[in-house]
Amino acid sequence: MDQSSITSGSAFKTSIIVATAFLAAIGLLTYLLVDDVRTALQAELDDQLLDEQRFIEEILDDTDENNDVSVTQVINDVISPSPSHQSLIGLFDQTGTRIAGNVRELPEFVGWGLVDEGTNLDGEPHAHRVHVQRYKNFTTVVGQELTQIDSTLRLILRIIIVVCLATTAVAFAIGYFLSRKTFLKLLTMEGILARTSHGEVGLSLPISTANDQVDRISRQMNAHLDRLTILIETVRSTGAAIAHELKTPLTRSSLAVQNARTALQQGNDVEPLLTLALEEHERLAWTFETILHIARIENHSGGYEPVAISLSELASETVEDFEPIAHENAQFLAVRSDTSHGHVVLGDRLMIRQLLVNLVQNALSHCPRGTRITVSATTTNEHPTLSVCDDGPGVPASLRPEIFEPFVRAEGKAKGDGVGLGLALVRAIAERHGAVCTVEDALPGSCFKVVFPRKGGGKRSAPLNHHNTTN
Amino acid sequence: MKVLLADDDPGIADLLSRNLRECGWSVDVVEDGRDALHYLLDNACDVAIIDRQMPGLDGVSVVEAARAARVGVPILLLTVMSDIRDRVVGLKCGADDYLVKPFHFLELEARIQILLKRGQLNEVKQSTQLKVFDLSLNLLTRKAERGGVKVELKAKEFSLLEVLMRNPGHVITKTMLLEQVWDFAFAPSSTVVETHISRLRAKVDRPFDVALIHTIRDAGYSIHGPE
Repeated sequence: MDQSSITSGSAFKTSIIVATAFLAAIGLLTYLLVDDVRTALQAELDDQLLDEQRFIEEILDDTDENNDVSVTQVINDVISPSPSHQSLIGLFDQTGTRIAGNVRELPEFVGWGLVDEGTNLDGEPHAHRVHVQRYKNFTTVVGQELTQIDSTLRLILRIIIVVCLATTAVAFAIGYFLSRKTFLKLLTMEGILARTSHGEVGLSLPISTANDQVDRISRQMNAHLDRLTILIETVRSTGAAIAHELKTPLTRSSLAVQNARTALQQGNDVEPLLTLALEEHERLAWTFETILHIARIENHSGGYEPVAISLSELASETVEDFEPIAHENAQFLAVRSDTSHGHVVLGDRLMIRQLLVNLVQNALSHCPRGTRITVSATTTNEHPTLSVCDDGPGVPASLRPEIFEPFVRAEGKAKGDGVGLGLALVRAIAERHGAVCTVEDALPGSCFKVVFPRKGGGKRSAPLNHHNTTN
Repeated sequence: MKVLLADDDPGIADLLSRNLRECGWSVDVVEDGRDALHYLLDNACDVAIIDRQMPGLDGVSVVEAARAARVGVPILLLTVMSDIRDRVVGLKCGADDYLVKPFHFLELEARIQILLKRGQLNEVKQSTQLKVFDLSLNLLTRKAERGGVKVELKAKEFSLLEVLMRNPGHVITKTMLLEQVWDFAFAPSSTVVETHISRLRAKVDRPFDVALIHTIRDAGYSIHGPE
């Protein structure tokens, strides 16, 4: 695994940023804290020194002024200045001669000051904070080593540094761990997407129980992958179907022309064969044309200006056009329209006409003599609806779910009659208009319905379920 | 009669020009849009057949440029684009007719004949009355009469008869009727045109002695009086 990929992960970067910010904040706090602690410790030290001084002065008050010996004694005994010079104490007379204590020389100042006294192990002089005060005929000196404050502060600093290092290390570790986890997920994702782009279908991304952002994206991508799978499979099967549908008339036509050539060589009549070849060509061109037409509608290419179309008018017009054909077929074609209003939809007039024509042609070509076919325009729950119903043999239940798919034909249909694209075109046009087409069992017969969206309803919203079937 | 044929496919150009010459026309072939435009600007011809997709300059631009230069020769656009909107664009640019590939040569021939007739007349007479033999059609009142007898026609039958009678003696193909009377696409197996023609015949011809509507085999229909 590439370490740099993990350390470039957002979790790791965040941990670095957080650790840096944390260190900066602690640094600033420490700076302020050290200053405060030093001041506080010094104030405490000063109080202590002043107390000591006051104590010495009390002793001086209690003692006979001239009896130096007793003062010396008391100071030496009671105060017992430490020989290590941690604390200093000294009593001097008016002439500056030391009477008692461990301060060698009387400092040249009065009040607070610094005095070096004694040395530490390295031979460096000890700095002492010293208070010098005149009292009666004496000068008192009290002092304390400053190294105590320094060592206290050093201890505090050491604790803070250790805490900081530990925190930073933990933050980095957590960051690295999370980043690695995300990186592994992304690595899986990358692998699956790469496989998909090479044509594998049916793959999906793993989703952990953590339900983090990556999981959410994975879920979204799984939905896309599923859709892609359907599309790829559709394209594959449609491609195969198209190839079959185009090759069949091509083969027939080719055979007819070959036979015609043979017939010509033998001096036979070639015309029926050539007519057959031409018919097959026409069929081929029509299939091709319709496939392109459907593709164009599905791709939403070639936009249109939607106009108001009265479904009732359209129904009457279409029935008038096809009634003569129905009559020749000994079928009954009629329009049934609730004429109180026009059942108006917004859409492309030519497309909607083609839709109805295809539905009517479908009924005419599938129903036997004597069938009654009714075209109606209605409005149900504010949905304008076109329907073409017949009392013929109906659509077999097994065929109903796929009746609107390209190249699906009812069995027993006359050879060469239609190419199985009429209803596919109906569905493409319906979906383009946000309408839903369904086929229902009319008992007897079947009922093809196209339900348009409500007025003002999403015109382009593609319905999810386009071949609802009911029994 | 001279025909300009502009198509970049040598196979199509060769077969079509052979067919056109058999009809007795002389044919000049160009394979590039710019050549087609130069030809139209510099040479006289009776009709031009121009492919919509050509190298150099597309057919629609050729027609637009030619019309802008006041070239009035009848132009037929050939195309593989069959969508109704493509047809509208094709006709809007100034072409007189529009034919989708693949087509039957008889279809092309029938259309050229009509274009030639239109070219000869220079402009279509805006007549309100069409007459063929003893059949007359009043376009204003939308009434038909034959030999003084009123013929009741439905809207589509009237339109059919009108298209036929605007071009008496000429072949009107099934595709032309579909384009001019209905504007939707039918499966090749559909018999819409045949059925309506048969209904029309029942009203216009059958009650009378002389048949006016004639079926031209493999091509279409024609209306004319006895020859």
